[in-house]
Formats: sequence, C-alpha cells, structure tokens
Amino acid sequence: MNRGTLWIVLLSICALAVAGCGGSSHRVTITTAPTTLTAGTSSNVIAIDSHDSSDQINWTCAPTGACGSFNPTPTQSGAASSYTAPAVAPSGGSVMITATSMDHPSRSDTVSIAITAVQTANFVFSLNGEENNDSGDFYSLAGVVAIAQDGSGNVLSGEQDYNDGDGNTSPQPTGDSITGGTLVMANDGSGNATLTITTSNTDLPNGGTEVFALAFANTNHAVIVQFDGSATSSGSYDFQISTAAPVGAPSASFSFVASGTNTDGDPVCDGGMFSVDASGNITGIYDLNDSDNQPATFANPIPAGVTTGSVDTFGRGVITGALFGGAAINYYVVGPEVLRLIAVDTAATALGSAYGQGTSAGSFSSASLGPSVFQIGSVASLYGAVGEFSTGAEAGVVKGKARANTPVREAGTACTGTGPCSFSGEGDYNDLHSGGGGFVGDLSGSYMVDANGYGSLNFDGTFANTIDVFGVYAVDPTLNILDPNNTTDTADSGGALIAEMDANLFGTGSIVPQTDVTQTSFSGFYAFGGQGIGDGGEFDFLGTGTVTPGDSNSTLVGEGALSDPFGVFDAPSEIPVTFNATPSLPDSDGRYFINPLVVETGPDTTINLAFVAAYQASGGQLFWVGTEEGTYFLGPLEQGTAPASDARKAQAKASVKKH
Amino acid sequence: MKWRFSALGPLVLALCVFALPLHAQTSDVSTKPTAHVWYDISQEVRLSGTVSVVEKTPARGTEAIAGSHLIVETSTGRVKASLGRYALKGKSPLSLSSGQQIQMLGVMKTVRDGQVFVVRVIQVNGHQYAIRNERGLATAAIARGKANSGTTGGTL
Repeated sequence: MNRGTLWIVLLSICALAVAGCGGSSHRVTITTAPTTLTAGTSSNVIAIDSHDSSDQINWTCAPTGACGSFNPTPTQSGAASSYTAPAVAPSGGSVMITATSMDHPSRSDTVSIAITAVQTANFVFSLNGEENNDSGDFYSLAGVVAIAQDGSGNVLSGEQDYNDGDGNTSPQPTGDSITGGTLVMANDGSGNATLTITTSNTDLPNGGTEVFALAFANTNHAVIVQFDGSATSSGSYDFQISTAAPVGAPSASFSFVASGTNTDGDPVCDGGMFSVDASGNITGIYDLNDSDNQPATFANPIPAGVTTGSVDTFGRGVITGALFGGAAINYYVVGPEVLRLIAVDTAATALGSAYGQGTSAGSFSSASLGPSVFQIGSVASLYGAVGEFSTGAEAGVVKGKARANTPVREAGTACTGTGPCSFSGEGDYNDLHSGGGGFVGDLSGSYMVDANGYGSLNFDGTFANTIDVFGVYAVDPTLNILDPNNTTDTADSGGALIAEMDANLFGTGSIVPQTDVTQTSFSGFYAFGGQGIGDGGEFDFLGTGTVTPGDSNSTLVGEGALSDPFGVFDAPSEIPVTFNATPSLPDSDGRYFINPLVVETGPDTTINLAFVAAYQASGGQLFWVGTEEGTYFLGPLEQGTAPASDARKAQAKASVKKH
Repeated sequence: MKWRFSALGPLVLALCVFALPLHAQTSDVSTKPTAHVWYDISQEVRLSGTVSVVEKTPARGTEAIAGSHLIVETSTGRVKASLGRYALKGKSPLSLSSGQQIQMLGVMKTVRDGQVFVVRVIQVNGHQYAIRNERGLATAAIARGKANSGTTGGTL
C-alpha cells in the first residue's frame, strides 16, 4: 500500500468513526412494536435511546385523531408504553407510530402498524317513555349500535335520533353519532346486560351518554329500558339483518303504527299501511288520532311525493315528505320487513314500527284474524289493555261469553273473510286517565280487514267504557312482531298492528295469534318487561327468569332491573332487582292472574305490583298488564334461551360487518 | 253452547238476515261507531270552596286517576278534585295551597267506588286555567308553558 492509499483508508475509517459515534449517541430506535393489531386492542411498544438510557421518549401517531393512543407517554428509554389501536381501522388500514427523543427532538424512529378490522354486528334499538324533567316530556329514541364481536362488548360506532318535541331533538338530517360505549353482560348467565352509549350530542341529558338495561330473550333480541335517571322508557333491541332501503319485493307493502305527543305535549297515535315502489315512492293510507284534533280521521291518503329517501350505511333513512300527520320521519332498517320509525319534528315526537305484509299483501281478509291475544297502550295516554278473543261470522259468536274457569270456548260459524266478522273474549285494562279498569271483563264486537290489510276492530261497549275502536293493520303471517328475527317461534307469527282511535286513548299495540293456552307451555326461560305509570311518573322494569308450572299454580323467579326516576315506589331510581310471582292456573282463554308480582329491591325491601293479568298467545309469548288502582304497567313475556355464550355475538354471521 | 245446525240453523239464518244491514254499515271501515263519552260536558257544574289539602303526588294506590288532587271544602261538604297530571308540574304550574279560595268547573264522577270531581277549568287568584279539554283529557300544554290562562276552553 503506498502512502497516498494509506491516508485515504485512515481518513475513511476516521470519517466513519466520527459519523458512527455522532449517530449512536442520540439514536432512537423502536425495538418493540406489533406489525399488525386488531382495531381497539392494545400492545406494548418500546423505544430506546442507544446511548442515553435516561432519555425520555415521546410517543405520537398518525393519522391524528384516528390512530389510537399511548399510555403512558412519554416513557423512559427502554420502558414500555401500551399502545391502543383505534376502535375503527383508519383509511388506508394502517397507522404510523413515532418515538421521539425528548432531549433531542430531531432524533426519532417511526414504524407502520397495520390495523385489522374488528367484526361487528349492528343492533337497532327503539324506545319511548318519559324524561325526568319538570314538564314530564315524553320522548322517542331510535338508533343503531355496532357491537364488536371480539368479546370485548365495545360499541364501535352507530347513529341515533332522540326527540322529545320540546327542545331535545337530534340535529337533522344527520342525527347523533355514536362514538363509543360498551355492552356488558351480567356474569351470572342470566341474559341481563347493561349497554352504555356515548353520543356526539352533548345537549342531551347526561351530556349525551345513555345507559340502558337489557334482558335478552335470545342472542338476536332483547327487551330494553333506559336506565340512567335522565329518562325512563321501554322498547326493543334487535339484530340488524339488513341495511338496505325498503324498496321493492319482497316487502313492498308495510303496515305501521306510531304513538307520541303533539305540539302541546298531548298524546297522539297513527296507524296505516303503505306500499313502496322500486324507486322508493310511498303510497298508502293512515288513520290519525290526535287528542287536540278530534275526532280521529280514517283512511287519510299519504300525500303525493313521499319517498323512502336515502339510506346510509347504518340503515338509517330519512323519509322525504310527510308520511303521516305532517311529521318528519326517520327510520332504521332492522331487516327487509321491519323498520323502526321516529318522528324528528322539533315540536312533536312519535315512535313506531312498520312491518312488511309479505306475499299476503293484497289478499288479506277478515279471516286473517283468528283466535288472538291483543295488547295496546301508551304511557303518554296513561293506559294499558291486554285481552284475548275468538272470531266468527257475525251472527255466530256469542257475545258476553262466560269467563274465568269456564272450560268451553264459545264456537260460532267461522269467519269467511268476505265481510265483517265478530269477536268475543275477555280482557283486562287499567286507565289512569279515567280511573277505569280493574279485573277481567268481557269484550265483544265486530271487525273487518280489507284485502290490503287495513281494517278496524269495533267494540260494542261490554269491555271498557273508554275503548271503542282499534285501527287494524295486518302483517306478514310469517313475521314475528315482537321478535322480528325469530323464525323458530312460528306459533306467534302474523297478526296485526293496532292503534287506538278513541277520543281519550291514544295507544298502539299488536294482535298476535293465540295458538296454545295450556299451562305446561308457559314454562322455561323468559325475558320480560313492563312499562307503566304511577303517581309521579313513569317506571319501567325488565328481567329474565324461569317459569315452572305446578299443580295449583306456576312460579316465576327472575332477576333484572327497575328504572324508577320519579320515585313511584320510593325505590332507588335505577336498581337491580329480583322478581317472584305465582301465576294462577290459566282459565280456558289463557289468562293467568298474578297477585302480586313481587319486585325485591333489596334485603327485605319489596314492591308488590298487584292484580296482574297475563294472557298467553302461546308458550312463546304472553302479555301482561297491571291493574291496581293508580298504577299500571304493560309488557311482554318472551320465551327464549338464556344466552349460553356471549349474547354480543349475534347468530346471523352473514350480516356481521367489519370496522 | 254446542253448535247444532239442525236445531238452531233456521234461527241463525233469520238472525243473519236481520244482521245484513249491520254488515253493510260496518264494511265501510271509515265509518266508526260513536265513542263512549267519559266526560259529559253537559253535566258540568261549578263548585267554589277552600283548598284544604293539596296532593301534588298522591301516595301510591290512593288515587285511580293519575295526577294531582285537591281536597276542597265546599258549602255542601268536602270534595276530592282531580286536577290531572300536568296542572301542578312543568314550566308554569298552578300555585295552590291550603286556605286558598278557588272555583272549579267540572263533572262529578264515580271512579272505582269513589266520588271524584274531575276539574276542567279552575280559577285561582283571579286567573282561569283550562287544565282539561272538553273530553276531560288532562292537557300537557300547561306543563309546556302554554298555560290556558284566561277563558280559553271554558268559563267559570
């Protein structure tokens, strides 16, 4: 090697040494980080300053606001920070995390982490009830939540509409975004759960955070009660099997009902039927019963120009035009045959449902209703009624039939369906508007259903002196009104929606076929609920339990939750409770008498809900009403299966989505 | 009753014939029967008296009709008066207390074996408030701050 070459080598070695020594003294390197991470989950990340173990490392990520979080940050060199991926995978599917020296901010390291989507299932919820404010405003709430299917129960996203018609209305047309929350199942396997939702609407009570109690009848369906003290209400929580707009076959024709309050806060209800063409145009008729505009009006045409409007990725649609009664209506698609409706006018509120008529559209008749159980009521109208009836040709049904413990169902000539037919049966009701109600009473009258499913049920006055007319709107005979995703409980499929068309009552409800009134069928696991009014305001309860038939009576033992923000029972406003009851043997019409339904709110602290009547449509479904003086409730009992596995994982995997 | 066509058939057929006009009437679903009248405005009477007790939220099980009640001493005796659900709540509740002189327009009803005076219009401190509509339905307008002060809905 000559001298020149030697100098070049020495200078190169020296230069490399300088460069290496300078870099190594301040280099930051991320030594531990995942290459992929599931949305919403966490993993440790570690970075080191190669020559300064006391250096602090600051953690950041991009895209800002949608890249997750670190805890803690900063960390000491070599110490771990827990990185939590965003709940929803960001656009592009990856995030960049950066470790930066606090002492030498120019020194940093960055790695990319792919964020894989979490499988989610959407559930549609809809409730109405009373707000806990001075005015006692009634309100409606409907929305959809995307629940992570990874076992965490995290609420990843969703949308909702809230409306009390008195200042608390979600902004339109966007509604509220649901940004987070959790669904926590009770750890006792009872099927009870708590759902907490964080919304974008901080103007709502509790700053937009809502808490609900749920009682699952099965993994796809639960009874739901708002349970946070800001309001109390009851409704349904159902797996969303489709988000598609409700246009065209197989569900081009729908029946619907809705109830709420008008601009004065007084009760109102509607019912009708409509058809949707392939372009989303809606035509049909509706009955309207507005307490401030009497009498009720019937078969009003839906105005021209009403359409289903656009439907977003959550299945939330905004109807263009006034579907009924001049109200602006949004809807949430549960499936091709079920929509939850909510009025979003700032000065009035209503909540309802539309159910498809299926292939029976255009071929209904009075014969479409046979022996049935009905339930109807409204907390805004302060009443509830449950009963059963059999049907026949008008001249063939014996009116004022005998009741309890008379083992003969009166038989008449079968209703042919070509005209009006008669019904007779028995029922229980409680009307806190008039103070009427009490024990079982006979009922009878005439009814008819047109080919389009539109009809009426006219009482002859033997039942309740305030109940005269129900609007009747028939639904697909294969559709389960109470649990619309339930295709196994075929005994309770079909029937009709109903809306009260009387001067002082403004409730909605349903008619369900009565197929089995035997005591042995009322057995096993049930989810149940009740929505009622007492002195002071509304209360709601729900739960799950087991019914065991016995020789002299049955027993019901369960657990759940009571929401009593108005102190009807002087109990804590939201409290877990247990239930105990001994239903009587049923009469020949499937009526059980329960006195009382015992709600235990604590050790040696009980509430007795007296004079409860339950009517059995089948072992699958019953409806009950409380008839004690000054306090009523109305609700369902739904046979099911206690969720053996995580109820947050819906069964209909085909519709599980990725977030 | 067992259905025996041989014995009852002719009778039923005859009844069917008589029933035909009824069929024709009810087949028009837009024709509904006249509703029962729970609150008969033609039976309204006026009562004057002194408020003895104000039950804003009655104890559970004591009142069949929802809402607040008054016990009023009148010239003919003590009367329980129902004010409905909204008169004493909301944005502009009526101010009532023991010893006040009031006038009421309403209907005396028998409710679950008890007598209750269902108040439609009440005069308090010189102002009249319509707290029920003409069908006896308690209106929430007063709780919404839309109080019917004055003569709206009836006069005393």
